[in-house]
Amino acid sequence: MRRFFSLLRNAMPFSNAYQDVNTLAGDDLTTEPMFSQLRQFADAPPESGAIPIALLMEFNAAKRRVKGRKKYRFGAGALFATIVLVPSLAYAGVLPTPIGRVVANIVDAVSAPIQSILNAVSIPVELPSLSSKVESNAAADGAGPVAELSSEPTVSPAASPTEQSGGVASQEGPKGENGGAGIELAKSSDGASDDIRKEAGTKATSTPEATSTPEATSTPEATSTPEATSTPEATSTPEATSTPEATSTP
Amino acid sequence: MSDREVQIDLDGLDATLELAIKGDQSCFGDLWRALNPRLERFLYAQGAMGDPPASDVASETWLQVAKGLPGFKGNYADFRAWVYQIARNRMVDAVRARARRPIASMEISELEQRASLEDLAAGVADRSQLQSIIENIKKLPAAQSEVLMLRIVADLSVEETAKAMKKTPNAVRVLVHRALSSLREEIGDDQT
Repeated sequence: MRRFFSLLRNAMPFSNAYQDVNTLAGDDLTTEPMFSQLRQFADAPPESGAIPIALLMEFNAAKRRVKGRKKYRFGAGALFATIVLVPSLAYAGVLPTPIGRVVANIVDAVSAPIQSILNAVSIPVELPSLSSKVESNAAADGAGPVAELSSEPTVSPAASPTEQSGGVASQEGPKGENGGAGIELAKSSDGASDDIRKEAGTKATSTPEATSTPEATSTPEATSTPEATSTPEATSTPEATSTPEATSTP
Repeated sequence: MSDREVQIDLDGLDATLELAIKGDQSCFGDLWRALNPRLERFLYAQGAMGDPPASDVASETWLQVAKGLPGFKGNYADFRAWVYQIARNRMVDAVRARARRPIASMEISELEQRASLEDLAAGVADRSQLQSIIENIKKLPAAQSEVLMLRIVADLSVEETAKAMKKTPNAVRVLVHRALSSLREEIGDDQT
């Protein structure tokens, strides 16, 4: 086969050019007498050795620009990592509980308007609540009966006061007569949930009765009646939501 | 200069390049002093004999190099190829700009050309022969004339020329071979 190709190469008209290109090592140009004047011209000594000031200024400006760009990228990366990592770590329970609660409050404050908008346009979307997860993580990290009770099958995600009111809003706010009522209902229910979280949250997490008793969540007076959720009096009165009789007593 | 000395010199320029990338101003000046004379001569020979002025195009080239140097990665050979690649692009831009806006006063430009040739060709014994060989090279197709200028005037290797022209080394070798053949034929015809 090799002999065949060598015969073919010799027979082709461009064989000489092919061999010349392959044997051309580049030294022909350095020894070619035709280019002697051109080489002399290229090897002539430089006329000046001083670098222009404008070039140095541009070099320094480029250095500063690169440093600024590095700082900007580092800051943006740190900000992005903070925004992404801190809620994730709080959700995973890696962060300490007080920090996790603070992060949960921030995340809830940020997500509450979005959830209210989604509820106003009648899309039944429930954003996952970071605060409940942090609470459950804290309960799981805590000692004794809280951990045991919080892990019982009777405890459902709907057992927390915030999700009670959220559930009511999603059930009753919607497809009714008008969207305005839905907005009002969602807002009032969110306000109620915040109040409930502030007032009864610590009790609910600290006392096993508040989270584990089905009576506290299923009483119609407290949660499921429209009077209890849609009117401000019903949500803000201590009898309806935050009294121990309504939420934390069996 | 022996091969050992050349190797030491290249190693020194590699280290100089690294320091210049890190922001050393004096090392950047060393790079400029090492490359600028040949760059100006390449631009002078590659352009239309000083039109546009080689020093202007070289200045624009070095401004672009100064802007991009902090992000450059490679050794000194890569750096040379990169500088000449920028120089080619700036030369093309300058020629296009010159074509769009021709200079009204031709006398001044002729004086500039003469002064530029006097400065750059100070060490050449026979300037008429230099002028004729440059004109013969300029008659070749653009790629062949450019590859000859890069190999002879800029003193780039085949690999560096290939990087500067964005071609393969074999394509550069073929271009050199064809350019040499054409030049030999033409000079032989002129002599006969």
